[in-house]
Amino acid sequence: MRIVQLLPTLSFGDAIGNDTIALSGALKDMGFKSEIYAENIDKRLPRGIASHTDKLKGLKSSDILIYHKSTGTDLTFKIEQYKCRRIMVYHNITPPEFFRPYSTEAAKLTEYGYKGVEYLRDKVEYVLADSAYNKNELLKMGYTCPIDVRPILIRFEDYKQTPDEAVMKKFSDGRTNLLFVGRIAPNKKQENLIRAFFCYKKREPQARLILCGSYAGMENYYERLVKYAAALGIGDDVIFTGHIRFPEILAYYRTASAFVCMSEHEGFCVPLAEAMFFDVPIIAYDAAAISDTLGGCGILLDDNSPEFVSAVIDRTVHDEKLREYLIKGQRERLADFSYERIKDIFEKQIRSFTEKSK
Amino acid sequence: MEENNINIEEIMADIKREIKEKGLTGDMLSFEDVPYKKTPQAGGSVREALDFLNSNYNVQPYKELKGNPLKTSFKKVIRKLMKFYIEPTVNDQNNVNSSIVTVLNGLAENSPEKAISKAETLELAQKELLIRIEKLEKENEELRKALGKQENV
Repeated sequence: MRIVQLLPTLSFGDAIGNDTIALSGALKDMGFKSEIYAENIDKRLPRGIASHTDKLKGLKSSDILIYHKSTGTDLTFKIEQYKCRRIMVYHNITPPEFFRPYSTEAAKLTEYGYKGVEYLRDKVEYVLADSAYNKNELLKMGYTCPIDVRPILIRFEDYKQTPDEAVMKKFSDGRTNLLFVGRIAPNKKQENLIRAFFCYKKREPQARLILCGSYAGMENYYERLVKYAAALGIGDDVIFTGHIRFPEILAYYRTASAFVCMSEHEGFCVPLAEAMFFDVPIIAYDAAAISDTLGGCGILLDDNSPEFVSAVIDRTVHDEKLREYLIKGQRERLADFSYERIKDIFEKQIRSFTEKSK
Repeated sequence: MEENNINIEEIMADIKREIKEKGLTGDMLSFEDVPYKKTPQAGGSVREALDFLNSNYNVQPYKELKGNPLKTSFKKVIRKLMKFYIEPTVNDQNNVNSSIVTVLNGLAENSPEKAISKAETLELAQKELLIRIEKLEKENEELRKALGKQENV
């Protein structure tokens, strides 16, 4: 039996690209003929790892197509042409409302993405959602097919690489480094991080806030954030890294005192798992899939008012016992995202799906 | 969530109580007051491209050799043979790159857009300072009242 994965773009080093490649390996281990097809394939990926969608032919009714859904693309509306059994892996789409004030293009793209999710409602037989939040979203959209939760596969091996020396040196100076990793995007609510940091600076004047992530396509929002930090008089200590190399990201994690997330929309939030890996205590606002990913570890906030968040940060940074407790909990949670465990979950889900067809 | 005398819910409740008791409000300039461009910017991410240039303008003449030892030794020989040509060319190119990046940074720093943005930021900073002055005046008044009461006693 052929099991084919299909997605618009197979990127190098991003969460969905890594997940797709890891799933392909897992399918091969299970004895299936596994292939990946994408419209755009990152040139940094090994040759032959995936083929262009034009070459996807000859699927039989017993074969399985796994479609990764995370954005607005025409590919979604072509899925019916593949006459085989279809599964969707739902990574979630950011609601367009977040983008509307800043980027018409991004708003249109995500709107199109949701139209695609609606279109797929009766085109797929089974869904694997990254989180319970994603599953509930599909149920609300009227999905009636079976939906199971399977966390995204993260290549933790990559995080063992040597971190960037210059960043390590610069940020290991004894100052408190508050970190958030993620694109500069309105759904991630970086302004709430700046607000909390403004209050925290009164408690810890030497602290820094590091916002690690690209702002490409979100320049209007980025400029607004920069102006806001400057007007509050904390512009020098709010660091926007922009798009950076992987070893630099590793260095920011290694020098972080706490990971703070105020995001209001996430389908999974891989950086939370990364912070767990680097033993960085997590403080996160309870929204969307955040509580699913934390699974009881870290500090989940029911209030994002800046005074409250800053007080929680202060306690987390300075209370050694609390830090130890948080890190212990995060290590336990991290075990749930191990390759073996997720592979095992996926294997059971795929076996159960293929057996149902017999 | 309780373990080793750590109870997260209790800690959160303590923090909330403390904030209430101290009357901490977190008054500050609102993000909504910050103006922003509502139209999509043309030309993609110019600032990010400039950041990239700033950190990558210096090109290295050689890349690290990895893999098959035989191939690596062969490449090393070729490198030595070509050194007289490659290294001065790369150095010249790096000098040109460095000058271009300096000019681009200067242009970006002195652009009219940047000046407008700076003026807007100063206006916002002034707004934020007014909020702080108001807050301090309130605190001052309360302290004076409390001091007056003590003196009367």
